[in-house]
Amino acid sequence: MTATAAALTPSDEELVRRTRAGRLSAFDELVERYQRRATSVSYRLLGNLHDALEVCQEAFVRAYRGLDGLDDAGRFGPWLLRIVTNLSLNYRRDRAVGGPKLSFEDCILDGDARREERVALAAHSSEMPGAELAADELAERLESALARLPQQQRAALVLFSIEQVPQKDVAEILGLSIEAVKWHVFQARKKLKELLADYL
Amino acid sequence: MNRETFEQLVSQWLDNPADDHLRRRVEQAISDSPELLSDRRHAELIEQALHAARAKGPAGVDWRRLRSRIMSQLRHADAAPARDDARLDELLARPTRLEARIDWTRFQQRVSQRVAEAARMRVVTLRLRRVGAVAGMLATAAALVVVALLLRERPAAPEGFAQVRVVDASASAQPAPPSAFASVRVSRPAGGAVEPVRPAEPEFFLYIGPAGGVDASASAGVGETGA
Repeated sequence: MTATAAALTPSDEELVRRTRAGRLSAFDELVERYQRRATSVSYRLLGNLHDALEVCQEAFVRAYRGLDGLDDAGRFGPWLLRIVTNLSLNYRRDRAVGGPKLSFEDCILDGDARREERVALAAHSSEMPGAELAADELAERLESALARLPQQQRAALVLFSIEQVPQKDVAEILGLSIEAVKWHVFQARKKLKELLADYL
Repeated sequence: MNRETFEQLVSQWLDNPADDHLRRRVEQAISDSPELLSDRRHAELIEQALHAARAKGPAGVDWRRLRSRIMSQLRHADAAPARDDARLDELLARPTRLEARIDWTRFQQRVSQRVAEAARMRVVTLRLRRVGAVAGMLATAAALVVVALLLRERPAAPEGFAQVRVVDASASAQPAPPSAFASVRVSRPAGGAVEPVRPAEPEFFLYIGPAGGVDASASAGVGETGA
């Protein structure tokens, strides 16, 4: 994004202000900005894309309804991720007593599109030097290793190391102290090292 | 430096990769213990993989459709309260199936009868209550009169003489006609308020001695017994 384009792009704070003024199109812009990140965080916490999409939708609906409760409009992102994280961590418990599961098949690319994506990835990997190939394989194994981490460690690592949310924001999202976040991240790294020893 | 401590140091450094002080400490630890080099390398590889995972994101999502769906849900949620009210009003206005099953004319007659009965019962009840109230007042008044009479102060025994009968107190004898009479002077203590007088005993019993003739005009003190 060029400097001019960046200057013309409204900030989160401005979009929140417009949404509060009744302009739903402003919230549409916020959805565009954060839906990938929200889905990504939820997906890594739940390990299931369908569940992650359901959580993502619910998080945005709750954010919209509770927008007046956001004290600092400029911190919409961390605030939204907090909603996503809480919904994800409580998802299985709430699902057990909740209503029928929503279908998000229409939001998941069909088999042909996914096959094309895999073909493109395979073509790319065949051109890669050995080191990159190893890194790629490591990345693949990483997903399953993440799923084996305890919930708090996984949440802290996903938010801090993958989504690169600042530690103090991670602490706020998870309702922990910064020291606790550091500890969980350390333990998660240590565990991943054990799980991925064969690929390192 | 042991492996556990080194791993914590590396983790701190990975939290703040721009921190030169931490980087130098890591390098110093490796120079002291070269076997720790592989531990740092493994930690870096994992951290790079984690960073790269962000760029990948979950694959196979139609983001445009997801966004459209979310906004549709919001518009639906926005309109929901007003729509719910309208739906509720419509529901309330709709005649229920229950109405078709009731003979409303007969029902109205039954209700009217019950209301009339209730009205009559109410009149009777009111009358009984009035009678009861009057009877209660009369009974209260009568009780007050009786209590007043009972609590009236008894006059003290006048000064003077009380008749005393002397009887033979032997156990074998039935109460025998008195063999003598005596008089006992009753007097009040001098001055001050008079204490309430106990009702006098109906008879004073004085054992004077074997029956043999006693001068009836002789006076004796109260409680005095003879041999």
